[in-house]
Amino acid sequence: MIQEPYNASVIQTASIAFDPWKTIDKMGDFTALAASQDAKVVVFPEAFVGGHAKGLGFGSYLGSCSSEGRETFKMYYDGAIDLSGDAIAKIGGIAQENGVYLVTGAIERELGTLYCVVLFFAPDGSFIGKHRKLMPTGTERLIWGYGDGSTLPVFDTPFGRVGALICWENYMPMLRLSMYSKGISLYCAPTADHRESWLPTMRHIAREGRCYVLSACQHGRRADFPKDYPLDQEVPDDTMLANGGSCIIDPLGNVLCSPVYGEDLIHTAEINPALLISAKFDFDVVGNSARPDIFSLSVDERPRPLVHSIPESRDSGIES
Amino acid sequence: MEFEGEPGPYLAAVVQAAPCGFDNQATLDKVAKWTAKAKKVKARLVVFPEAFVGAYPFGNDFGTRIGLRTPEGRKNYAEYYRAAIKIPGPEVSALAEVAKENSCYLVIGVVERAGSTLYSSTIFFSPEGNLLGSRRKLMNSGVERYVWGQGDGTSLHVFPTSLGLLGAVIGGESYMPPLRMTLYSKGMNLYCAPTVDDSDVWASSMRTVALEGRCFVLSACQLLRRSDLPAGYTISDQVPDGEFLIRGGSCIVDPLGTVLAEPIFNRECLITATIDMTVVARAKYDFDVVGHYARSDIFRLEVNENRQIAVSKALITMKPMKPMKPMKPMKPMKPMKAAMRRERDDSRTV
Repeated sequence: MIQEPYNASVIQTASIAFDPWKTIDKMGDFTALAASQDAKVVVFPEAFVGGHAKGLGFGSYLGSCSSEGRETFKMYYDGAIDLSGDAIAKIGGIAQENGVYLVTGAIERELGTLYCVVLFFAPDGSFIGKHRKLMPTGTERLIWGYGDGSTLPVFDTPFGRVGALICWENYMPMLRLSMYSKGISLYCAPTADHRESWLPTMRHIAREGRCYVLSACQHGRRADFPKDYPLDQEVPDDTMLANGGSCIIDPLGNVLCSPVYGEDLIHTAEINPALLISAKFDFDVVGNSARPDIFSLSVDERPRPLVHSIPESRDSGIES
Repeated sequence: MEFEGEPGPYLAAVVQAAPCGFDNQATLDKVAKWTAKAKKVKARLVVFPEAFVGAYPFGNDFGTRIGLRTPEGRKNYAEYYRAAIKIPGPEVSALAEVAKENSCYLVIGVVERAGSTLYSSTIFFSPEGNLLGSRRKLMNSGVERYVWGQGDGTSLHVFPTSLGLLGAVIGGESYMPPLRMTLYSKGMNLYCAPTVDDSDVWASSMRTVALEGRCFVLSACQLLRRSDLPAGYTISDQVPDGEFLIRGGSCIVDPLGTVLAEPIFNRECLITATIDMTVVARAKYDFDVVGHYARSDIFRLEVNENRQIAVSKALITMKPMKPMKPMKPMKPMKPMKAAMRRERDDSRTV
């Protein structure tokens, strides 16, 4: 791991709803801007590729859902990406072109279900892994599936150990603890929470985990969504649907980049690896300040496929 | 234990004040004075800071360096030791009397002496003047580790009261996720946080804890001025100049993270807020850290709440063993009765 300070960026802008390809082009532009600020790690918001269907109710109420709701889901599904497809190669190309670790939120589709994921790319363009959101919130539960314990990665990179928790996963103490136990030092928090209470949460996590926290939230207005975007009530074009509020925090909870609301921006901050250790002096949540004699957490990281197929036997049964 | 029914809105108070050094009688008088003030505004729950009775010897390094202790440091520790209180004991009785006189739940940080070790503890009293219980801090920060021992898992209490489910997390313990998780799982909705942490980040943490646990958070921080220190008190020359040693920053937050009483710095004060317990259920709608948001299929926290005893008496006197008889061959097992089989099958589907 490098010991010299380096830059990291979070991106605050809107995805182009239901159009992953245009969104990936936009990602290229913003990544180039971040790279021009010497960023080595670039973090995009939750559901950036595929979009966060802000404000939609998917025609659902307890006991029923409308056919319009189904149509909206179909539209959302069509805008999501297959992780085996071209989208991965394209995003990898952006990481490679700009020589950065790229962390982005996306909507993954697998068979008939969508998952809110974070994708990780290395500067050589390789796709190094993903984290599927474990627990969607509110209406998200209608459109996203639930990840299992098999995608809780923390990647050892020259810039530190990189991992990500999405939006309100950041309020799951046991999930955070498992991230801390993997030595996470660049804690990415792609989110759709633009509330004023988000910054305190990011500061708390930085101080609890003694890690850098990089939180990216979209800033998007009505005009960033298609004309036929099925909001319950139409609003003027410049109405903010996602306010922003991205921030970067140091391992003692100091705010390096404060939230700014209502505009597109790139926050770039200097990350000083030396601070990771000096901050642990008086508190290490999984070491000098833990009580493993009292608390013991088990995390089941096994993949949970629904169907285990037993491969057809190669043994023909005929003795040779 | 589930909290049955919700009380009507009531007032809770947090006291931000300085204890009177090692003079416990003076500190107890001060507790009585501030609790009476809280009663005047009809507070039914009053929370005091960490290590209020017995004091927090801020700035003292107890003459300790790696591999080195000094006679002066030992003397300082002995003074601190003498000011610590036993639970139960006369100081606890006096505090119970304060709770009774003011008909309030009283939660207060004390320095507890058990055997010859000191602990940062929080004790709880009912409005009838009963000691509900106490809990010892599990994890101390920095130089606190010179002077305080660590509690075990026996005191992770949450008390069912007429005001809500009452618990306390002491100082830096608020940064221990599994401890918070344990108390959330016991339904705590009145999260008291007696502390001496006066940092800017503290209020951020209290808001986060409130949002995470969907509970009311009542944080009481000491205020400590140089003038509050007893004469002859040792303070490290590394302490920055200035009158305020601990500047306060107590606050009250609701289960949606809304700050009901903002932190106030650099003065003694009583902060209050109206607690409306119906907010708890409204807040749990979209987040319940130990319920619909938990993912217990992935995360499983085991908590050892057993007493940890340094020396335990062996109760069974060992007799020399008789040589074992050779075992008889086992009879073949009877087939299970049909009823029993059914029971087993049922249990499998649970």
